[in-house]
Amino acid sequence: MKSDKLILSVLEWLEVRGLKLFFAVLVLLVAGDVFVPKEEGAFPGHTWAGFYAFFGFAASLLITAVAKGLSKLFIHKEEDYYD
Amino acid sequence: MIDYLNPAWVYLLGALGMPLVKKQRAAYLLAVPVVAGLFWLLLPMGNHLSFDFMGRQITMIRADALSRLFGLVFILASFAGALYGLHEKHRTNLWMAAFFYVGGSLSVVYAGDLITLFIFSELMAFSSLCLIIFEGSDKALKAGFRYILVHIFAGVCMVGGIAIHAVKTGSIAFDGLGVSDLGGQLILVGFMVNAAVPPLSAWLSDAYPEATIVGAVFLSAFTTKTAVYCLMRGFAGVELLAWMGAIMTLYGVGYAMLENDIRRLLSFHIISQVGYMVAGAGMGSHLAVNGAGAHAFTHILYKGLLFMGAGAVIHSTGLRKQTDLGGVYKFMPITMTLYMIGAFSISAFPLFSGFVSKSMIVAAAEHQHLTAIYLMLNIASAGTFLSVGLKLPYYTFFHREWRGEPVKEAPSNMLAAMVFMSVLCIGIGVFPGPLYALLPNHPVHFESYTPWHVVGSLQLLLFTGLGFFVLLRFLTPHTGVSLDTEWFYRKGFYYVGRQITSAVYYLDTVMNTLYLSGFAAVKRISKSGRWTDVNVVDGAVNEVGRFFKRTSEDARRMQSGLLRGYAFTMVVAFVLIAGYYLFGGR
Repeated sequence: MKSDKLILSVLEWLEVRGLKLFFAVLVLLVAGDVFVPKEEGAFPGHTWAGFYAFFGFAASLLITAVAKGLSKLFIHKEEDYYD
Repeated sequence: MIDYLNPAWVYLLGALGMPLVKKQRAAYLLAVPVVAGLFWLLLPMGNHLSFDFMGRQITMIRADALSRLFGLVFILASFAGALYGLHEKHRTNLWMAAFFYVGGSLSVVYAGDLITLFIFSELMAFSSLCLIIFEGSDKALKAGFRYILVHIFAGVCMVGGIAIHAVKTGSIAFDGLGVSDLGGQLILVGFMVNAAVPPLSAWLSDAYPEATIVGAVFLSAFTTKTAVYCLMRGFAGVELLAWMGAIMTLYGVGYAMLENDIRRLLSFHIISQVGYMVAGAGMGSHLAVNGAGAHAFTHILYKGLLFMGAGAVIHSTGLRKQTDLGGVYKFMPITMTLYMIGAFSISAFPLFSGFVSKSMIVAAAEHQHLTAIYLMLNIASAGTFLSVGLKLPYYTFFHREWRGEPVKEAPSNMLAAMVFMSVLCIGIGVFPGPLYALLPNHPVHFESYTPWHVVGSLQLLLFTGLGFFVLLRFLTPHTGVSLDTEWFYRKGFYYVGRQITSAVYYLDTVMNTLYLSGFAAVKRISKSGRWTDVNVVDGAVNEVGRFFKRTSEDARRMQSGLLRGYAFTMVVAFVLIAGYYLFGGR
């Protein structure tokens, strides 16, 4: 099939360039946010440029910390726990 | 005649006809959803097939905007599911169960009264059980058993609630029910179990990953979303639901972070995504309810796609755990790409379907100044991308070189079904207009593609991606199980049972000792007691017998043989008793 060759070549390209592209997009998103028109909404802080960038990063840390912490505390059991 | 074209019946008849069609099975499986789609198109709005049954108004078909919205997406999902399972077309039992399940869901969605709703939700429970246990393994059988016990509990809550509600209000119509009385509350609990609202949610993540590959695709679409429909119809604006929904989104995300089994991870994200819909129903505003409906629609399509992708990997590799998988992309690049379309949709990337539906619910929370709920929903969005869009594909398709024999790409019918779903996911994401036109509350004033919203969403998602790379070494999946509320019925009852057993055993020992030591004494007493027995006890029994004989002879003579007389006596007695309870008791 042709489509799988195409997908694999895209992946190869991404392997080389993907990381740089990713960081470029991150910088652009925050920098460009300064020019985006905003409305007042749920709470004051969220109209700041780059707020959701910070939010997304912090949320991923928070979720991982809470989930892994609770898992260590009591949630995790061996595979045969219920057998 | 056109009034009776309930799409549900196409599936129910289709299921019954299944054993008769052997040669043209593939065409049959695809034709049933197509005919149902035709029925969906032709069925006029309004109540049809209403009749009086034992003094209650049964309405078999109620077609309005809300039921049409869910009806359409159920038909689309069943078509894709049938296409996905064509390589297993000869499993007659499986397909009968699947079609009864779809027919049951559609019947519930089109039901205008609570009795019809209850009967068909029971049909759903038992037919979906078949989709689990037909997997054939011992694990699936046990998970199925637990699954049906929970759903029987839900059914009991519902039937009790419906009875109380019917007596109190005199109506069994299925409209806004409210939670002011016990009836409404019990029905709400029943719906919440079916929607997998924690702590009543463990049945879902327990059973779905054990189901057949095709069955899981069907399961992911119908039970929880039918419950969402019921919550939207019956309990819109119940504040408890707004909070429970927000908690659900985080609960599902948190457990998904710890999960190793790919379909169980996706199951936790059903709970999480249904949380958005439950929250939308609970907030109850026009925008929130529209959002819940739209999100149910898009969710069924992208979650079906994700389950198809995971199922395709399991079908080809025979493996289901992230710790065993890795490097599959070389053999299944198309499956991977289509899976990622589902992953981008569930993560609500702009131009994918989740973006246009989830944002309605989040915006509704903002408009109603529910800041805590707004923040919880946004954190869950980050968590969704983290595990469905990054972790699962990373550890399944990449991460390391494939360790086993080379595997094949999924069968073409599976890929075709996934392409069908992908086209819908992107189509809705790019052109949300037709979906918005189907929503229950008109007119829909909502624009998801504003510059701020697009940029904000991309920031949230891509910086979550950054977080993923930073955290990568903490995210390695591990084997093991995560404790959930299922512990109570898988372990807890066992402990309680053992305590009860040991208590009974102890009592038994004590009693035995007492009996044995007391036995000699009893023997002595009983010897002397014989005289008493013959002369006193027997004498008394005989005397009692003679008394009743005499009385009954007298009574026989008193009988007039007139029915009227008895009836009069009964009425007088009834009035006296009723009078006592009504007025005497105060």
